[in-house]
Amino acid sequence: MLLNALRRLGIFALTVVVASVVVFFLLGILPGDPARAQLGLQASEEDVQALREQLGVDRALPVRYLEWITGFFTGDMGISYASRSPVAPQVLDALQVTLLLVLGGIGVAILIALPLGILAAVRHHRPDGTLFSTISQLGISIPNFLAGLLLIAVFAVTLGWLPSGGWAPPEAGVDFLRHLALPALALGLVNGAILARYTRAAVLEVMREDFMRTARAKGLKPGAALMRHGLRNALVPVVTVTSIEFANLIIGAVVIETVFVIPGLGSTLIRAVANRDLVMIQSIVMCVVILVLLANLLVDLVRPLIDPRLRNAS
Amino acid sequence: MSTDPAERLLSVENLTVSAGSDQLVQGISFDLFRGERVGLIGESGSGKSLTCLSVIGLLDEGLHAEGSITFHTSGAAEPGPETEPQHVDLLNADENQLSAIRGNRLSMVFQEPMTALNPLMKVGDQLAEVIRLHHPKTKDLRPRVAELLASVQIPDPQRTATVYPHQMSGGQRQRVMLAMAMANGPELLLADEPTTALDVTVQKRVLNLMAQQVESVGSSLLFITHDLGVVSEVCDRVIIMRHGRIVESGPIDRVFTAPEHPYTRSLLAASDLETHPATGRLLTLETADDAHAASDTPPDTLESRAESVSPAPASPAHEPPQAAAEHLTLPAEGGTPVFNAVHSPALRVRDLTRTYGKPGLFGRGMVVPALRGVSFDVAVGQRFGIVGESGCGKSTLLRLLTKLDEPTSGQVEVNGEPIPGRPERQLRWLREAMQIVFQDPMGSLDPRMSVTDIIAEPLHGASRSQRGARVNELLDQVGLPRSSAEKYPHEFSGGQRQRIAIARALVTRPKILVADEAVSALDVSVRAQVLNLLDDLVEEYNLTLVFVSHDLNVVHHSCDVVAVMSAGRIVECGPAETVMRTPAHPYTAELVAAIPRVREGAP
Repeated sequence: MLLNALRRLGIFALTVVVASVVVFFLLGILPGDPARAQLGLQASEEDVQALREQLGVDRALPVRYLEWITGFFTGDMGISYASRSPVAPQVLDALQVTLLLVLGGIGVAILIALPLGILAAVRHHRPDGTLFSTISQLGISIPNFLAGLLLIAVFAVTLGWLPSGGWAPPEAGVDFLRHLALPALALGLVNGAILARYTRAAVLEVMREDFMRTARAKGLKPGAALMRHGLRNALVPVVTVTSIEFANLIIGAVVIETVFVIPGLGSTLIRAVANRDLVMIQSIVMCVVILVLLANLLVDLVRPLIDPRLRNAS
Repeated sequence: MSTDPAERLLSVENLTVSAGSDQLVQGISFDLFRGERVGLIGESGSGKSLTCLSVIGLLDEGLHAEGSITFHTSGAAEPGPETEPQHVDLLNADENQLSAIRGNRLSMVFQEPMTALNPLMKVGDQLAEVIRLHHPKTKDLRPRVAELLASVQIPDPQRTATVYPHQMSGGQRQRVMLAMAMANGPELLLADEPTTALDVTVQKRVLNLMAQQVESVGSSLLFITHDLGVVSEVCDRVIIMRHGRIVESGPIDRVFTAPEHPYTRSLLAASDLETHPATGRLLTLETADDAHAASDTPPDTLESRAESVSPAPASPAHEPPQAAAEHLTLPAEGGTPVFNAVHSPALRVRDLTRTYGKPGLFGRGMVVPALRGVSFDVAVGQRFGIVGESGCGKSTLLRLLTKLDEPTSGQVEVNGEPIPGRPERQLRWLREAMQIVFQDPMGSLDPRMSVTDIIAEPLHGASRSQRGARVNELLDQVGLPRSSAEKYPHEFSGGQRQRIAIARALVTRPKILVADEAVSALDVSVRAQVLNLLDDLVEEYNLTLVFVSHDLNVVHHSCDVVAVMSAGRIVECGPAETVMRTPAHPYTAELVAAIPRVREGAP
């Protein structure tokens, strides 16, 4: 069990290193010179060269990689090409915002997916079960930016209950929640619909298992059999899918942040791309990669807790 | 009925089970009396399991039971001093009534021990659950759970209560299921093929245990099985079902010694692998009655009736192609001998080992020796049987013989050509010379290929008409109509699919045919037909047969020489008849003794 966890951690660390190399060199070979981009086409070659040296982009790629990656993990992500200010505080602020948004989105997704998926499975041969399935099918086909716009139209513009955009930090309490509600809902609705499909399939599968029949033969009523024996078994695949969905949610957050004008990783990333701010882009992409890998690591560590068959024999 | 009606425990009247407009059980009626142990016997599709599931009310969705099933329980769920006998109509009882009875007065053991327990829950907790469910006031259940586990002979019950099902063997899991079913002292235990998935030696122990438990608790037993041998170990009365109807019922002694219905007779014959007195062929549903008539008819009148694909010689035993094989056992110490040694064999195996797993870092990895030094020959034209229980290494051996896997050490030669280590592109000849028929006739045929495509697939470079001609010839040989050629596997029954698999194996005119549990998934009556077919084809194609099975009885019938495997080694090898009659190795003796016998003295 412990050995397994250590192995997972090792694999995680290795993947992070490989990912950082890929991120760095992929962005490094992109055409376009950050110094030239900043100074414009009219600038003289000497000025550009001077700025290159100042930014450090005139040195060899491996050297720059080492400098960047050691800095990255010691909290010094370098100086933004665009704003000439340190990258780290900006990225970390944006990261916090996005993380809260994504966690809100996951919360919404799970709150929608579990009841909807379980009901759709349990009542799959009845009209209401079919209705639940249809709802989730419909949910999948709505792009989340559209869901965001619709939510704004209804709850912010027409009803005026919630703000149409912007952000408040968690310290703001109620105001934070009011700002979080619509974007988290927009993010979670669609992913909740997808997760509901998986939940439905997992519960349906489990209901056909032999041990469910054993549970009934012991004298458990159908509902109790599902609660005591079915759900935990159905949870194993659902948890795995949730971790995959996590990556989708972060990507979704990039779009949703733009719709709701939220200062998260997404909007920061889009701005950095527009400015050819390579240092910023690298750091943001690296943060996203680490987040996704962390989510996978978490699931890898959690799954053996749910399913004893995944634990080591030792 | 002479028995006092008060003694009646279960009355099934005019039970029908239907799926849509299909009647799968067609109005059957029977009674089960208190303390009685009844075997419900039938082949697949007979409706025996549906009858059982109707009783406990757990039919799958889409199946509908009609008629009446009355359970004459002696009292309510809670044992009290004053319990009135109740008559519960199981088909119309509500969920509350049923769940109070299930697991308490009426319990069930299922066929598949590997999947019938919740994989995420400790064994002890699953046992405790069934007690707490019906006796909510019970305080500390741990001693009771340990006691129950001990009663089904689970070693170290306290510790075992804390393990998960995947850490137990199939036999142990089935014992836990049994303990669970018996936990509340049910009045009726339903057992649906409870030992079918187990090895014979394990089966024997579980059956004994079940009989003993039922006895000590004073329960009645309704035992569903396809295996007449098993039923005779535990039951005193049998009900034989076919196509959703009861064809015969009565005390087991009478039914098994003087069966009245022709189907019962043929089922008995097929279970015993009885052969026709005149032709030496296995009796099937069609020929069993002929054979019984034949006992007092001169054989010459039978000749015309004996169905045969080839002009088979009318000798009951196969002539061994060479001098009878030497009967050898594995010595307790020293090296392993070469079994069945012959000159220029079709198959030569020497010191073959296969180890799975890696030593791992610091030598902590798991290393499992699947084969621990096996040496034997198979003579050209010989029928060589390999028998053993699960985990004995027979499947591993087979994978090495057919080069689906590489040995850790040792040599395999086919017709004098060494096989291990050769790249696949040099083994085209092997793929043609050696063919396999697998156990699962559904899984081994591609569901999206027509029968023609399946059979003719290995015929490279043949024209359309050549392929068609060969397919038709093979369909004739395996006894399928030529119209089968354009059909797909799902349109056939299990036995027919196995015929297709045999046709596919023979299309390249192989020298060696490997049959891997080829009849194990088939009903006994179909099994006899397929074994007859194999006999014919081995003769017609001059095949060397390697027949792998867990069933010593089948191997005894189909093979000249049998090798018994245990724990990765051959422990005994010799002429099939000799090994069966006078087993020399203790393990073989145990195996022979564990074969459930329909009648005393049957082979």
